[in-house]
Amino acid sequence: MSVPDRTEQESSAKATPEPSRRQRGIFSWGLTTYHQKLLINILALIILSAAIALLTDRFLTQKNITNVLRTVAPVIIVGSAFTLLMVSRMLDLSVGSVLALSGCVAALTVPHLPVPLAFLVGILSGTLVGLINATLAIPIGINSVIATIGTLYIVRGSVQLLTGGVAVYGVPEGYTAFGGGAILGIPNPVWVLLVVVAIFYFLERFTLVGRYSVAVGSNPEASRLSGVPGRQVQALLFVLTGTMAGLAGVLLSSRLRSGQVNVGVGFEFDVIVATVLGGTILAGGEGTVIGTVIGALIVGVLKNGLNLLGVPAFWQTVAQGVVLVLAVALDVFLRQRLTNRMRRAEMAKLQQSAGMEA
Amino acid sequence: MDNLTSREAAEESISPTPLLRIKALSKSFGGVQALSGARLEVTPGEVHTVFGENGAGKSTLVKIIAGVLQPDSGRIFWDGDEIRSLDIHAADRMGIRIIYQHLSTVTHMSVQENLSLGREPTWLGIILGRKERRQAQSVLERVGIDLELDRQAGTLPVAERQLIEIARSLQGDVKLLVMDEPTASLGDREVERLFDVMRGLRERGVTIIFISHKLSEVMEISDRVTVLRDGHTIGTVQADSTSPEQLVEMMVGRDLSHGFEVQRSQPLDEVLLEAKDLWTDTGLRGVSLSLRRGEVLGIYGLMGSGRTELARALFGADRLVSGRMRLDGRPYDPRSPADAKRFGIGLVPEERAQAIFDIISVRENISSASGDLIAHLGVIRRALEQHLSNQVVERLKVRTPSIEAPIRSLSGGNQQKVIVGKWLMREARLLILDDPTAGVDVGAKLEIYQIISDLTRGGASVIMSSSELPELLAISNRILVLYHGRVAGVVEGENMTQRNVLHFAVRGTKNERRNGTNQDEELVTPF
Repeated sequence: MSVPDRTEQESSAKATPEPSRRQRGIFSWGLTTYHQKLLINILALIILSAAIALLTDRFLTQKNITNVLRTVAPVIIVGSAFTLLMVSRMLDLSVGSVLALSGCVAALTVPHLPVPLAFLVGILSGTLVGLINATLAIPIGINSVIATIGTLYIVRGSVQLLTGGVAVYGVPEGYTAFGGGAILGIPNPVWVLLVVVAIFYFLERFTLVGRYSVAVGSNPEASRLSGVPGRQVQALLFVLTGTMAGLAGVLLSSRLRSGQVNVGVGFEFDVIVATVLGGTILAGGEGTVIGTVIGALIVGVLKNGLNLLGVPAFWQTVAQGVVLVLAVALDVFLRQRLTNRMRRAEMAKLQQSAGMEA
Repeated sequence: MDNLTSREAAEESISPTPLLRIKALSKSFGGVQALSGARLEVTPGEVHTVFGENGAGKSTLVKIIAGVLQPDSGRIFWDGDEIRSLDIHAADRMGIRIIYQHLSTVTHMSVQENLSLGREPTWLGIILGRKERRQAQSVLERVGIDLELDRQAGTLPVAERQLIEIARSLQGDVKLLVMDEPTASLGDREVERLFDVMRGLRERGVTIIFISHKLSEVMEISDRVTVLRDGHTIGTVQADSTSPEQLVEMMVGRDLSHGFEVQRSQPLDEVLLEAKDLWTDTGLRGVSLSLRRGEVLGIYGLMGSGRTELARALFGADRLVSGRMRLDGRPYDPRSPADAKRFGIGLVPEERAQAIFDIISVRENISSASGDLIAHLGVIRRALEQHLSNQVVERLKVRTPSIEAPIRSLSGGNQQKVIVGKWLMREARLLILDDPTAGVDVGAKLEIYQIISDLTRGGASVIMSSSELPELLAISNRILVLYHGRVAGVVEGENMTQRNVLHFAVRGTKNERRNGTNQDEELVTPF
């Protein structure tokens, strides 16, 4: 009968912490894959910016940087909410249509209402679409991709119906101040962007909304068994995403002094690209608002740089696709390396313990 | 202190007020009676094991205690008072906590976040980080385990994730902790650590219901043991005054003679398949076996023993971490099931859903693994396909209106025959059957035995695992018993008895785990 004596047991107990230390080495300086990727992204943004700055002196001007920020503002404003939604394992593809809807609604109502109220109505039209999306995806249970492709069409068609298919002009003078103005030399959309990012960063890091979006996105069953109101959080994030799309649409409309019917076609993909580049995974459970901000900036700086360098627009589109594919390939590579190492470490431990017993 | 007295009382086997008393509990699913009149009495402060074979009703009982399932009939008393309806929330309020067999940690969250999941300290929805950390630390201290709070749970080994769950479940006023096979995926040393934690909890007055079918563990940790068999409570015994032998006797009990006679095949001397020291990350820990031509090798083992994992590894469905196989004397290293197929091997998986395409026809199902045989340059030769499918249907006596009927319209037994037929069409020389008679009626079972017998007399070999020992005893030439991912023993000839197989299955080989008594030693080598 093999009764291991005490000393053997003690020595084996001492041996256990060692693999854990070795395992931690896998995460390269204690960083998780997510943080590794965020670091890589920030480095990529810096290198990209430096490269463009070396090639053209028009890049690092205050005007150009403001311009880049203003262009990426809608993507970041919507992307902040969209990131948390994706972390909770839901998608909203209707945001592009909502961009057009809220702008047109604001432009259509402004003759009858004070300007701020018209903007509010525009934003709330986005909130309404968010509510519809939440209803379709959660209590009714339609897959969120399909449900929001449905609302993408419904909303885009409704905008055309509302406007008769033509842009809404004739807005009053004060209409342009919100999206077109600037405070302290910084354009208003950039201020809005900063406030929105701050709010969602706070939600993500310090509140139950952020915590539960990870829980339900990573392991819905465990969340349910822990009494986490995961579905309510998902619904809230749909509403917030719709609202942010409404906000971005109103800003855009204000800047363009009109309600444009065809604004935001394909915008949902810009948001997905920024979010995924920023490290959020489609399967849910992982992703951060700051990552999405960096992701949007990489795309914005890349486009701007190619523009300044005179690269034709068609090539810019190709470049955007290449960057996305490369970034995701890198992600897959990092993850596989991680799981392989973890597996090998576990097996080695098992084989070693089997050897000891024999 | 309170718990000491109650444990002494338990020794008298009459306790003043049992914490939990269950009487005449019944539950059926469809036509299957999972529990019929089960009894259970748990005294405060004890570790009470519920012991039994697969399908004895253990998990159903646990789920009823957790309030997840509602019983069809029966009475439940908590602290002397009858509980009319027990749902999840009521169970939680009463202080009942469950650790499920499947891990439910959120892998993307840190240890701290997992510990407080669902009960975060907040102010207006904002998480109070420092308070959360203090609470997490005190929980870990209370349970007596040491984990890095900031580590992402997904990067921890399974055993440590389980400790997170235990710690998490012990928040609030916990009276009863139910652990459903918590040791299923743990190594021996990790089981030791878990037991230490359990003993600590018992010291603190937590009552524990422990579910396991590993005899050595049961003997080591339990105060009392209740044995379930086929949904009935066979009895409750004191662990320290009961021998392992008695427990096995209680667990098995049932009469062996199911009354089927199948002509056992006569294997040839030639070895068809030889496997050496197979390790997989699905849980095989050094399995070796050899199989002769025309032989039926039975594989037995309780849940978590590695039966399905072995079948999958042999078929190339899971990659080997290490180990070698030879087929027909030549190296055999399948990288995928497609590879195994080319070597003439077929698998009937445990889950029927993994083998049938339910909305398409019997014909298409039969030929689904044989595209290479029925197609020419990628174009399916319909006449040939029909001819071959018809042959299979006739040979296996599949009862179907025609080969064009959708397979889902067939009975379970006939579906199973179609799945076997899929490999017959290819003339597989080795068929791996993973519990092929589960959920199949008696008539179809006999037919499947007959098919196996015919196949082996034709020179093919069969590896068959089953959760029903009597059928394995009836049709196998030898039985290989798995325990915790290893070969606990191989029985054949006169030694091939239910008792011998079960001894290996519940306890492993004699040096697998210590248990100390001499009785034990005699039992492991009963022949």
